[in-house]
Amino acid sequence: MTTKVSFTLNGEAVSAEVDSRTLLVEMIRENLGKTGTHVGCDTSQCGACVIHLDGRSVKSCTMLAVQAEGADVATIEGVATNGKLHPMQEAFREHHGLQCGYCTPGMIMSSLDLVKQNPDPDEKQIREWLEGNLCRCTGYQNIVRAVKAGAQAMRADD
Amino acid sequence: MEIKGEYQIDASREAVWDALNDPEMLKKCIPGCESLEQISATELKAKVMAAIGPVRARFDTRLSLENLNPPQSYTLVGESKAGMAGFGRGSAAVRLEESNGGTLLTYNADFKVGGKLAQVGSRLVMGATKKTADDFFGTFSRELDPGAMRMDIDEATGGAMNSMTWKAIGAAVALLLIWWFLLR
Amino acid sequence: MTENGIGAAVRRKEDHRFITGKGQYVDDINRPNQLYAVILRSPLAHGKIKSLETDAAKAAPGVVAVFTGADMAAAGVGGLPCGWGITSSDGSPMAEPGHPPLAVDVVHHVGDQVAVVLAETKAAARDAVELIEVDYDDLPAVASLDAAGAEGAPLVWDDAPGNICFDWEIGDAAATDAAFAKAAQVVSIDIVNNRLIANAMEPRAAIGDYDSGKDEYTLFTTSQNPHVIRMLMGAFVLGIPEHKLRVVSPDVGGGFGSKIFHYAEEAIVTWASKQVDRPVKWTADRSESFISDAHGRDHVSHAELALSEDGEFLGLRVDTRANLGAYLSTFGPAVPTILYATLLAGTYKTPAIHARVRGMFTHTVPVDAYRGAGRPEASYLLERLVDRAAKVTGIDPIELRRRNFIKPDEFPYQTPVALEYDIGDYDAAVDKALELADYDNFAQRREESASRGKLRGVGIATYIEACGIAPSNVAGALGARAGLYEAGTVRVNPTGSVSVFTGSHSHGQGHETTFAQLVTEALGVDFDNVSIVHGDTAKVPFGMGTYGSRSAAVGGVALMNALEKIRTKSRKIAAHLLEASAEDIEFKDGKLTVVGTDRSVAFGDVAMAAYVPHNYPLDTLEPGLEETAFYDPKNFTFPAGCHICEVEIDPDTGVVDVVSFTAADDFGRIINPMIVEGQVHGGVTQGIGQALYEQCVYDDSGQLLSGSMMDYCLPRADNLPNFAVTTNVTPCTHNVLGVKGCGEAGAIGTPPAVINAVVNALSEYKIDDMPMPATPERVWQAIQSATN
Repeated sequence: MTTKVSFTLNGEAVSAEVDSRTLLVEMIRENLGKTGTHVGCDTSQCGACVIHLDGRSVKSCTMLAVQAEGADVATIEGVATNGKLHPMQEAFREHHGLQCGYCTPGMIMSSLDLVKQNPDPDEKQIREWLEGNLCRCTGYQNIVRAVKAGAQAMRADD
Repeated sequence: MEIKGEYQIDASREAVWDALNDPEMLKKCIPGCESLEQISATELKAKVMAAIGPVRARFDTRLSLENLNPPQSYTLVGESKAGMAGFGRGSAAVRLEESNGGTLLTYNADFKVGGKLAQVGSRLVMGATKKTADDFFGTFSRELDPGAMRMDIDEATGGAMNSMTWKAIGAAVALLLIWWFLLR
Repeated sequence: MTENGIGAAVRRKEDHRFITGKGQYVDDINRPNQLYAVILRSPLAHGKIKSLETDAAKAAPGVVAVFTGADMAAAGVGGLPCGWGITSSDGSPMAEPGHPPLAVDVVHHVGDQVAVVLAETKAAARDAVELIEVDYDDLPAVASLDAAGAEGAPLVWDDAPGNICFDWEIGDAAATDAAFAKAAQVVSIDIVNNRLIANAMEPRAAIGDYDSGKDEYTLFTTSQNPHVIRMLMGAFVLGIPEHKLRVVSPDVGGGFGSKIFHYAEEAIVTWASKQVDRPVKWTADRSESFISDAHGRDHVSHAELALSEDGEFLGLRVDTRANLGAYLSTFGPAVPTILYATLLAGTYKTPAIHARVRGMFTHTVPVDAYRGAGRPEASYLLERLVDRAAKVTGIDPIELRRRNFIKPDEFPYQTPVALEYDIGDYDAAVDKALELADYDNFAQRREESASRGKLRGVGIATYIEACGIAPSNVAGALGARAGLYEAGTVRVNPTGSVSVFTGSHSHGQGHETTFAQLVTEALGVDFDNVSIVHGDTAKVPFGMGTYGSRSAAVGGVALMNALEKIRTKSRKIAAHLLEASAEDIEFKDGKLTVVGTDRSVAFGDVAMAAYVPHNYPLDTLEPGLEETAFYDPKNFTFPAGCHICEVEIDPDTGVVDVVSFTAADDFGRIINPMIVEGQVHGGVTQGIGQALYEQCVYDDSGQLLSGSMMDYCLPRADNLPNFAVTTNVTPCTHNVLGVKGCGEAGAIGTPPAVINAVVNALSEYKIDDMPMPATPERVWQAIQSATN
């Protein structure tokens, strides 16, 4: 049984006919072709698939595509604007907060939500917030450093 | 895995035995039971929709009864398969004793699970199994004696279960415990 | 130092695509008209397939084909080969069972491939897999080393009695016995090196794409070494010659060893694509990764150290059993032998060493290299043993180590277990680590922790590892069935930009940056005008890939050699343009100058002249500016270092908290310190994972119980402290870069440092051992047993 699902993706109206059991991450990757959002597990543990749904970070493997009907969805592809990197993206690069890059989109999307809720997170808060995002390469230290720097740059931009 | 337990049922031993031998009764009481079919005097097959943690599947179950000693005891031997979701197999020794004007049912089961069920759900099997047994007996006792009500069941079963049971994932169905209630 | 050259902490070229979501991993690739493959796997550890009924699946909506092991066997498909043969001490070759991509008749571990369904959508394929009916005879299984070695244990393979694949030894048994005979003291330890699962964040995936028009195959795969896959799959499994088979490994989301090996799924999708004449894509679910990616470690050892009165190491005797799993993975037999026992000398001058290693089959997923591969097992055994020796002899653990270190003036140093170390300074690493860790003030910190009811412990470990396995002829004599060189091509384009084609593969290591730094250093070309191409057999001439911390030490040096050829030819071209002799041309900072004059040409002009050879010595020099080098190292490189860990334990809960971690490593010369530090962070974290969190658990019947990220505990951001990292440089003596390798060190030195710290923290309870992982339950139980 297929259903038509429509929502806003990075500011653009999108829709697709999907099987009703399709996960949101599957629709984003397979139907909408935005492959920056990754799948790293099947038990909602790794956070590689974190996106924003109506402004809050969610694991897009944990919900069905149909649940996003009418929502405002943002993925990593929408973070840079007009070809200019977001300060959080810059910070990940500057502080070597990524190696293989697979967890990175989820990390960045998750961190952006953290900074939205807490513009000046300390290291402990960052580590606790990112507890739901696994990285197997970096040992997290440079990710934490990047998020701190990214938050600072975002405050400066405001 | 080994599980032991006992339940006090407010009905005579013969009534319990008969009920455990009534396919319709069993079908009513087994959570998620979609079909139940008798193959021979001591064999039975069933389809049960079950979920243990993240594993949810339709289990094809085959059972056989051994060491029949009505109305006191029997052994259930069986296997449940659900394709990619995995399997369970094992046996359970069940005894019925007259006790406090009712019947004390005790079971002693030894079983193992395999495939995805073991891989992803093994932590949950024990709790889910106990929960299933409780659900089964809740319905079973109400069916047997509408006057008995939940309170008796809770009181009777509460002691046999640890607090983990109550915290275990809700609405789950464990295939193996079902077997020893699946009499012909 | 050239800006962006060797030694600069250049920010990574590759990052832009990853932080913008534009990376291209295998699962991001879709081929026109592709089908989706889902594999039916065995739920049993050991079983005979009585019947396999696929008709219902074939008839299911969207299904195009279903294949079984019988289909592949009938088509003449071969088994997955093992790339390293080990000879037992009695001279017999190891037992080498066949490994069909899809099981034929018997399944040997949970997760063994049984059938594959190809369908129009992944959902349709998944649904259809459920319709395949397999009737198995459940056969008895062995899941652990102890079970496999028990009297009368079920056999994994009939031709491997006792489940022994090989019974191998290294070192001088008689000399070792003699050393023990004269020992003042003997210290022994029983060690279990826990079984791990690499869990790279990107699950494996493969797309087979057969072009029937050209009779050519393309395989996109999550591999650390596409050329090796082409060689193994082409030659041994599918019989496809190299010129008809292209293997592409695009962006790969971490490997840690688990993506070195040739896996069944690669052969299945490539073969199946031809059968249906459509591309076939397979992507593992994480649950599938747990039961199909090669696992790591899983050793059980007994070790004894003979010491003199004053703590001099006289002899070391080791008996190790290594779990190889049900089948031999690509390098499975090499890991517990060549990559493990040869490192048992560690950083010490132990004169006599003997090790026996038995590789054993069990009904579990094949075991192969995982970050460190053999070396973590050696370092853990040795450094736990040395710490115990310190306790027994009453000699301070640091002093005991220093007394036995190979000293800087003793290199090159021939160990009793085959290796010749070229250079090192182990005391210097210890000094640096002690200072950075503020070791002298540990007692105060311990008191402070005690005031909060916490037990604080400190642990030290030194390690040595061997990277860049080589030379090929020696490796061949030791059983390697492949060469271990690396290839690199430098193509200077007509306008002076540079494309490098390297056989190394980056899956997080940042070669696109570090290798570009080498080019910038050698040719003076702007960093942004260099691109590094890797991971495609159609583009890169040849390559052995990335594993064993070999990329800089082998691939980087191959690149340097190719660059040197470019420099030589450039000088000749410049000599012509400047009407001078090539010997008089100096190549520096992107300019070629006649020595002692101001006459020069820019490198870009040389490149242009090479491609537009109007004014060019065509009679003596070919046009073009492209050079390839193959480099086969003379020896391994030997990174070494010292790690210090401090833990705090809550005696009420048993929770171990790593409160500080210090690493002082000698990786030789460093190309990019930022990247090196990142590699250390990652390695240390995986080491802490092994020591405190990670454990692959099988039940007695061979069912994997830790088969998801809910059950297999990976380190998370809030489990870890910030690490203090420093380096001490003794440049490798036998490669032009002086580099040694840094990728695995963290995972090698860390586990013993952590466990030594845990044991130290528990010393008041007289606890002298703690198995890995030191989970809260184990620690709490140990405290309870000690106090009751």
